[in-house]
Amino acid sequence: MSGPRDDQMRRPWVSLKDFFWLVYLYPLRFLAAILPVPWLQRIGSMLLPPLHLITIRWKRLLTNRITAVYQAKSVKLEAGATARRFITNALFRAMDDLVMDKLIAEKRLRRVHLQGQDNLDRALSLGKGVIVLTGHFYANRLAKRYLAQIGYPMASVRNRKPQNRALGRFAKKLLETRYVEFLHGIIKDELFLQDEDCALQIFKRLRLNGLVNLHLDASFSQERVRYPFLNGERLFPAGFLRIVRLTGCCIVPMLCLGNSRELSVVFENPLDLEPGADQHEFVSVNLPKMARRLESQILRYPDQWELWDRPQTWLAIRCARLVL
Amino acid sequence: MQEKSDIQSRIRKVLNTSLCLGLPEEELENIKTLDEVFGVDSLAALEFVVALEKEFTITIEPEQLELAVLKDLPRLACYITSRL
Repeated sequence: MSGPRDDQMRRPWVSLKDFFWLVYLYPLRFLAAILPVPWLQRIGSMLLPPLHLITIRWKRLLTNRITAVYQAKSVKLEAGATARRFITNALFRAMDDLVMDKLIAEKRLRRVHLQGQDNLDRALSLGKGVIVLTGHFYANRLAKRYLAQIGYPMASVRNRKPQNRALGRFAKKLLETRYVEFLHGIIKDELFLQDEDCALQIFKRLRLNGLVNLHLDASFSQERVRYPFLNGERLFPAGFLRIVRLTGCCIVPMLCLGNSRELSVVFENPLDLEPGADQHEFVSVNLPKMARRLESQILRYPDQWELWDRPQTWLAIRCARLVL
Repeated sequence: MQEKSDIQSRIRKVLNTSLCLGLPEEELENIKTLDEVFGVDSLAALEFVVALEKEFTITIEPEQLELAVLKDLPRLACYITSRL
């Protein structure tokens, strides 16, 4: 098995992503602090054409992956255009992150479509807290900050130090910590999986009838179960279902789409969980349903799901098969 | 009101059963903190809390749901005694 040192050795000294991060974390972030929001949004639009030019290989890779999934599902899709929109959405999200505090404080989110709020209210009325289940969609961060503003504060369960395989050694050493701090500043209300008391903190939130957001497609978790997903397999976190079983809380799937120009938040019906005789059965009857629901969200809005280019779905699972 | 030592002993029994530790009674009696028990992670601590609430028919207040409180068995016993 490869260790952190091997991982370090495989990285190039500098990658394209290092350059993006450097520009993003310094000149752009400083500009975002002093410029009005519409100016920064204009800068974002101006950056789009060069970004599309320098990400041709990346788009080709995405197009191939998206095509493979949709062919396997026998669904027609213009994969090239989807990959192009994926890159555009990535840029808009990055620009929104830069001005997140201003967007919220200045109440700049004017075109917000909130659907299924009654689903969330119904789940909250049971008084046992709600786990808001999402996939990694671009609009999540913005949606959660907006929801907190309108009276639905939500703790996000996260990996304290997310892996970033596309980084070179330069950014890994000099920029990663800065980026992680930057993300903490955006997301704000966080619980970290690495913390010894993470499950207790989730429990505490639920007991206070609060909202806790979990990503079903998160690759970092202590307990994981493998299920078919898209046209391959994926490891899904299962530990949170132990908390669900112990607390009797509701699970409400949430889908966040768009960006600060137009944001859409959909709360789906609370999941009808089947009781299992034990934890293993509880996971095996309920987790696949959640995975199917997430898969259908991704297939409906492929350009909004940010994990197409993360290797877990594709390569890592195949490697894990060889190792385990 | 029950003796604090009785409460402590019941807490240890709950710990043993809820986390399926299978420890013999004499070994169990020596445990003072959860740190002495191998393999108690965040989820296991939660299982322990829920089992405690069931055993003593109490609801542990959110401000007491801290690892520092739960790990220290004599302190936990004091808290539970005060809630009975």
